[in-house]
Amino acid sequence: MTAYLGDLEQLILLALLRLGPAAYGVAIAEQLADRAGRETSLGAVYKTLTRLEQKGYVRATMGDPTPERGGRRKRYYQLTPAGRKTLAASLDAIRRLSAGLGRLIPEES
Amino acid sequence: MTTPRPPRLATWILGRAIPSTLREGVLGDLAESYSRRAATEGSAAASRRYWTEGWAVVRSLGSYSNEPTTLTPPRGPLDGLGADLKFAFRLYARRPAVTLLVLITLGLAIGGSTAIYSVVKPALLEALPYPNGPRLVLTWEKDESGVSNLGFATMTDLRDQVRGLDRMAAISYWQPTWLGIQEPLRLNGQKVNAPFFAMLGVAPALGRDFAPDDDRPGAPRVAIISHRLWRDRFAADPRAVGRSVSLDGNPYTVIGILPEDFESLLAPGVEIWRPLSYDQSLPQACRDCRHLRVLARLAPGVTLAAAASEVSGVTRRLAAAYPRIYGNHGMVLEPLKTNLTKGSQGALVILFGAVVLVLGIACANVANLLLGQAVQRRHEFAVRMAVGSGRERLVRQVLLESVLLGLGGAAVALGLTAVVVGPIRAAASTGLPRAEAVGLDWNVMLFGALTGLLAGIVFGLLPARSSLESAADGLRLGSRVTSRHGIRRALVVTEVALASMLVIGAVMLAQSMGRLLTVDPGFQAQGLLTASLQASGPAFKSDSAVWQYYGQVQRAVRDVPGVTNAALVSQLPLSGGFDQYGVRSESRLRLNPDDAISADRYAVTPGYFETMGITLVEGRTLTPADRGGSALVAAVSETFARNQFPGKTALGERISIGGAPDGQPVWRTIIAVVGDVRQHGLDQALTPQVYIPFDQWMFSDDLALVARTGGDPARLAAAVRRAVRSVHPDPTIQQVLPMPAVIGSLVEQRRIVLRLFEGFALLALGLAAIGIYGVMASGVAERAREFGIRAALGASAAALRRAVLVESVGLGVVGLVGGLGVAGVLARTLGSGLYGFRAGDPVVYGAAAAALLTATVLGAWVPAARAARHDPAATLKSD
Repeated sequence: MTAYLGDLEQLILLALLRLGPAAYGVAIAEQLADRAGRETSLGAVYKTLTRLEQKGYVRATMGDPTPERGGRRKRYYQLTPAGRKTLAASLDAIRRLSAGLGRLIPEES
Repeated sequence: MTTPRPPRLATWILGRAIPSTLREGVLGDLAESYSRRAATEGSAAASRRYWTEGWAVVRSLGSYSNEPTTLTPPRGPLDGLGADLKFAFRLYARRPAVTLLVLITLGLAIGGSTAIYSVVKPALLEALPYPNGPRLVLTWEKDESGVSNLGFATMTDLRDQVRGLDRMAAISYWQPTWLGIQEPLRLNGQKVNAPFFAMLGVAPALGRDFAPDDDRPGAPRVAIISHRLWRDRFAADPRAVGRSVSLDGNPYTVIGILPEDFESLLAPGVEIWRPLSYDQSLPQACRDCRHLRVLARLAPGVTLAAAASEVSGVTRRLAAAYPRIYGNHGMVLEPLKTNLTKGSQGALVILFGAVVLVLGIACANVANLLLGQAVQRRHEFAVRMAVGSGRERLVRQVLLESVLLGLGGAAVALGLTAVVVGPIRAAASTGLPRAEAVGLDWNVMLFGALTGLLAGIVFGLLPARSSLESAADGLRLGSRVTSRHGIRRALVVTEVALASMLVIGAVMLAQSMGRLLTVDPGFQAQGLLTASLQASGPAFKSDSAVWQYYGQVQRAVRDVPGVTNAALVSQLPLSGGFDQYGVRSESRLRLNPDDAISADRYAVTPGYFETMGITLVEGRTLTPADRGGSALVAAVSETFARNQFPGKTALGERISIGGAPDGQPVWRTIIAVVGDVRQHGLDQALTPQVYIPFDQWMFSDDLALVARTGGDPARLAAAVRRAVRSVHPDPTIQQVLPMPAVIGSLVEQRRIVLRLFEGFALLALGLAAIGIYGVMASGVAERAREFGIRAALGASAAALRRAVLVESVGLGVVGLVGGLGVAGVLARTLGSGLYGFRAGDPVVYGAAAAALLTATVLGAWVPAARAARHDPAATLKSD
């Protein structure tokens, strides 16, 4: 069975890959804003992360507390093997569907 | 400079709103955004953002929490119970009519059970309220004619010789009149041997118990009084102990007051006790003066059987020593509790059976109703399953709903019981043991709650099962769910069967009661006024004074306007009392010196037969010339005459009544044979009876007054009372009652049982009709298409109505056959104790069948009318 990933799910999984071990809420939201030009609230980020966690695509670990967080620890997320596989399949589908359509899809600046 | 910090209030609120797993990470992220923003945009703007961003997180996580993932099956069996409860309550609130119907149904059924339980508990289930209750036994002499009391000498022999009985006390009636107070007061009392209270395990709350020295002839007169008498007549004054009261003209010292919770079980209503004070020298202490009830206590560790065999040994020795007295007498020990409960056990068990049947019908009815709802709710169940609700959770939800209904019904029931428990206690006091202890205590409440809980589970099981099936096929929209119909029909058939059993019981009881009330008592009860008299006090020390007084009373009452005749008698028929003596006939005695017959003895004034309306069969009636000092005469009943002088007239025969003081029989000549009178109860066998002139006896009896009146005897009660008191102020006149009321109180217990049974039967009929209605109504609704098509094909409205009615009558007949069958078997075993019972009486079964079929048709009437109204066009369009 093919698992489908939502739009935001796909973006967040990509952001996690990009951020590596430094992926936590604020950083993910910043990545989405900076790289994808998508202002996303922390609430939406966490909602999606939790869903991905329950689907078994990401897992969370707790980091060390820092002063600027009021002494609270960061909740780091990283992809699980299943997450990687599903993301790959999802991107693969996009690549296959978009193959040879380069002329029809205008490049964004 | 201090580092700016996010608003504390916002942090506090967010900390509570965010799920715990995410709380630290999210709050940390929010704080991090805040401190970055505070550095660039200022703390005020950062604070604003903190609030809005935080709110957004809560909102999105909140909506997230409604997604299917939180509907994962609960881990513990109690997870989500609160939500289920809330849902159940909303469900009831949305359907107030159905909920109310269920609560009323259950309330009545559980209320009936609880009310009967409140009576059964003290009467049958609880231990006697005496510390030594389980060890108390009554001792009776027994011969072929039944059990009798003991003579004092027999009691002392048993007391001294039987080691298995460590305490023993003789008890006798005592009805003293308290003089020297405003109006003379007749008290209900008992004479008891000194160990009586200690044997029960009861000690006076104030003062002291009887001591052995109090219990001797000639000892100073002492009395112990009940808490109630102390409260009502001594204003609960502790100085009442030691006071002297004048009883029958003799001074008695009050030495003790019993605890408030003391119950006089052997003689309910007794308020005063004195020592028996017998010794062997007294004439009334003889062996065949069998007038004492004897209560004994088993020694610790001794069984009833062991004590009984020891008693038998003593009986054998006594029979050998006094063959004339004990010739064919044995002795029996009967546990006190058995004695107290045997009279009412049957009625109570039957009533309890009746309420259990009603409860069964109510459960079937509610199950039926809920099944109907389960069909309607199949989409809800299907959606719940589809979004991940487990089967257990679904079953739990449905069971929870029904248990809540059960408990709600129990609450209604307890409210009802609280209202009716007073009247029930009053009704119970006419014949049930321990009526005073009937009440709504925690035990009864617990019973009600448990019954509700159990009922909730019982009537919830079928709907719970059905809800699973509904869930399985409920998403197929438009599918016609008829599978539950089989179960619902079975439930209705069960209801009809149970209801028919109740109706048969009610009809049988009513019939028995009717037959009982048509029994001829042997006298004319209508228009008769009765009263009990007691001539006591200093003016009545001699028998002749008493006899003279009675003569004056008779004349005074005859002079009351409206009274056509009046007389006095020692034992009022059907009053509960009786006075039996051994009677010997001179002509038979020549054949067999030991030949005696036990007969009711009446001392009567002239005019008694005429006043009562007792038939004079043969001979002449008693006249004022038959008086003390003139020739001794007697009248006998037909049964007596037939038994003693078969095939010839009894007139002129001579009889001797009771023992002879000096060994010489006192012969009385029979001058009349009169009709038999029911003395011991309308349903009791006729007994031989002898009548003597009231002043031709060795002592003066306490007499009852009977007055024949033209109209309603109750209207003359006050005038008769005045007439009696005008003769002398000291004697007491009590229980001034019309004879029909005396007879009514005799059948009171049966009447209560009958009324309750009738109520339960009506309730059952109503419930069965509702059950039929429910099934037929939903059947008609589900088969709307079928009826529409039949109408379209030309079936008339009458034909459609008939089809529904026939179907419901079919259900009714199936239930009836089952119910009548079971009832027939039960009636054969239980009905034998019923007066005038005939097994397989067609009237009973016919009446029950008619009642049930009427209920069936009534229940189906509205659905049938609905079926007949079907518009074929509407049906055809809808498909």
